[in-house]
Amino acid sequence: MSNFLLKKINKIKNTLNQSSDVGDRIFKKNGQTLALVFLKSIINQDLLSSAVYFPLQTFEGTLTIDNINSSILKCADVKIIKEEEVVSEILNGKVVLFADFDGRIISIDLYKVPVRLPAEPPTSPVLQGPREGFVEDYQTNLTLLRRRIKSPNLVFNTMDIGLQSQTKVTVCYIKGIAKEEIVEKVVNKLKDIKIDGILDSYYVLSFLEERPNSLFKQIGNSEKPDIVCAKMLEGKVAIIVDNSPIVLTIPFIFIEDLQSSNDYYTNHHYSSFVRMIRLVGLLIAIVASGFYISLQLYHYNIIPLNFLVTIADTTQGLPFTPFLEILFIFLLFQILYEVSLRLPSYLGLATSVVGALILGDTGVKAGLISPPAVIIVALSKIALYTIPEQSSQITILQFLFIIIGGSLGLAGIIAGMVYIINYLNTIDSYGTPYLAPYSPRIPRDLHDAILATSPTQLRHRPRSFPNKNEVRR
Amino acid sequence: MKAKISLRQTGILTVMCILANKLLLLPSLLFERTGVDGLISVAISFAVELILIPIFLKLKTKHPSLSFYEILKKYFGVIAVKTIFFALLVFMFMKAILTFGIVYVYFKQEIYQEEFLMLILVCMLPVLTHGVLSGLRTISRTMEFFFTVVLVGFFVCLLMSLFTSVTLPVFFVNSAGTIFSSAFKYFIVFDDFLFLFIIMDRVDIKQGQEKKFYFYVLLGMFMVLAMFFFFYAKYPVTAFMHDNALSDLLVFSVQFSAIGRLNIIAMITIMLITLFQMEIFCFGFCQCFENLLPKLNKKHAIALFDIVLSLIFLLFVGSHADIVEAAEGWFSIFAIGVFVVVFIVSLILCFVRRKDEEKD
Repeated sequence: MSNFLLKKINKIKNTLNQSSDVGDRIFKKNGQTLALVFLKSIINQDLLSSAVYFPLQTFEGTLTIDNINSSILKCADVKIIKEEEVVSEILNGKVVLFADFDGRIISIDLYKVPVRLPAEPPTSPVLQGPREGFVEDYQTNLTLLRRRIKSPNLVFNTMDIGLQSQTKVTVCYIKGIAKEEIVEKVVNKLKDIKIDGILDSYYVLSFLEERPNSLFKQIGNSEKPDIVCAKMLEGKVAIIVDNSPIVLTIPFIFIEDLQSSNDYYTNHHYSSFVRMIRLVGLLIAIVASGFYISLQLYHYNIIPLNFLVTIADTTQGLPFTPFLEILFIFLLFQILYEVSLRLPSYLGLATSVVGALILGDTGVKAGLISPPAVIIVALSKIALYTIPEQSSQITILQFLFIIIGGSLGLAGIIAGMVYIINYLNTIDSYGTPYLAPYSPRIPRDLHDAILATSPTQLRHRPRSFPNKNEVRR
Repeated sequence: MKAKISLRQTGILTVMCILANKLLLLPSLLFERTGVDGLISVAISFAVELILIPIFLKLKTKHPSLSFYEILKKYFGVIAVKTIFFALLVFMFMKAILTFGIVYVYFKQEIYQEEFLMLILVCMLPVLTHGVLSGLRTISRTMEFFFTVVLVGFFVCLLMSLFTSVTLPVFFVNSAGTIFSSAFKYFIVFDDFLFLFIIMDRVDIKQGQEKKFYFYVLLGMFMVLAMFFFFYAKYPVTAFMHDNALSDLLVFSVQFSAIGRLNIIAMITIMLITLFQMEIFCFGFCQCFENLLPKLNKKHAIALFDIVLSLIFLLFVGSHADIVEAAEGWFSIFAIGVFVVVFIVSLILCFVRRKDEEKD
């Protein structure tokens, strides 16, 4: 056995802290010694036998590094690497081959980890249109994009981020459409990330946001390759993070969350209608509870008489003020929501029964809460999910508006709305005004904002965010 | 370089300025003096203040990148410019006091029916402070965002007033002297275009876009005149009793039992317009302050504005009578004075050429 090879293997094993999944195989052929080193946990061991070990053992003739590299091995990705790259190649699922007759080292790609098949993502189901979703494996995700855009201009730029995790992060864009300054800015920000591990795309998102402490989402995300491709065709940059099915898109504007992929696969008149419903849903979700409190506390003369009588009837004898009543129901809903998220699905049904029937109904019968208040909070909670992507932000706004409505009334609610819009207008996501195309108004983009349009009329890319080529066709 | 605002945003800002202070108290005050001829007085005031627009546009074309402060300093020297900007600072603050006072009285009478000064201060001051600190571009974008809501709310109020009996007003029942004197009695409520001079360098109006800008100016004026017309048509005899014109247009309209009292539309519209007007005047105040005291910044200016406004209302102003007294008194005299000075100075600036410019 070659001492030279043994020393090399030991050195690698020491570098990898004698980890139990480090495998090696040393064998002799015609007086020449070869050694293979790999991580058993992340390579395809069947392929190692059939495509590497077997051809080497059965080869008739003299082995050289050049003929191993060019003809003997039956693998797609074989290359000669430098000594300092050995450990990182092994960690990335490569098998490293040493020979005692040549100092050069060969790396053979046999990476294989359990991969989930692309399926419809639970967060974005569609009635019509593609049902494929991204998975945790970034290679599969790149394939899903490449399958949809067969253009030489589709560029993938991959880098390893995370001192310990060395996670693959890929910046995807279409050259000639995406603005180079944005691509450069994104790449630079990614390169500047100093963190021990990237476990999900959210880790990257936090570093890419221009205002990381803001409540509002500034970077788009999607689990669907068709949506990401559509955004890249508009000039956006996508970021795929290994081990995450969520793909990020930059720049992002608020109106994107009012749009759904369904809108582009159905009649555009219906899509416009649905988007308006979503907008109304958004307004209801944010202000309905606060507005109801302010009406009851300060402006009851505005309420229609019949409704006022109903409210008066049902609220008589309640132990809580309208403000505390709504706050109580809001917290109850929020607790039930949190519980239902964390419980197994078979217990979730039981929680719904306890929450909706027992707590809600009994609360009303016991005279603790009134039916109109339950309806208002339930309505605002349901309306929240017309825009599920923004549900966490809207929940906080709901809570704030309940407090504002209870303490300042209608004037406070309007002032609050103006304050929020003022604030949103200060956000620029990679040179894109957050509330475009409404403020600032960009007339050409209005046809695909709240209103939807037929794909035949989408002749230009949006002006709301920077792109290099405005004409689609 | 300071961020500029677009022509549309400037136009919207101007419309908000024109609507300032005229939607609630003014129609009834003018009615007391001149009856329905109040509308003619308003038209006269508009015609007078409209003179400033061509002068503003001419100055803007002549000095596209200079601020009004810089132009004045170049031609008249530091003392003159400081004096004029101090007058503008006081003027902006007066407009802010008036706007706040009118909406305070409106909310006290119509909505909260109780003392709530602290409450409305808490509502307004954070929004103003945030808006002004975020800059003119943010303020104008926010106004652009809500502009459609304001327009719809405003015209719905006008249309809803038709759901009761209306009488076409008969004009010119008063003497010309009375009509003219009324026009100048409340001049503080007008004089809206001075704000444009303060933000001159931040406005992006190119040559050839003047017509579009005039559209917004005329839209604002049309809105005010239309509201006066509808208000006097609805209350041809009792208009003096209705201090909150835009809101009162809805009061005796058909009650839609399914919808409830519709004056919520007026409330939202008035609140939005008031907030935007306050933002404009507050920004104008801060801009003048920064020019006058370059060593201090916007934060100092807004802090001063918030404190002084709060103190004035907490200590001195409390009623409808206080507001009217201030508006009719030296506020309007001061407004006429500032208008005349800015008019003359700007006119001179439009035609005068310095030797170095002649060489160019």
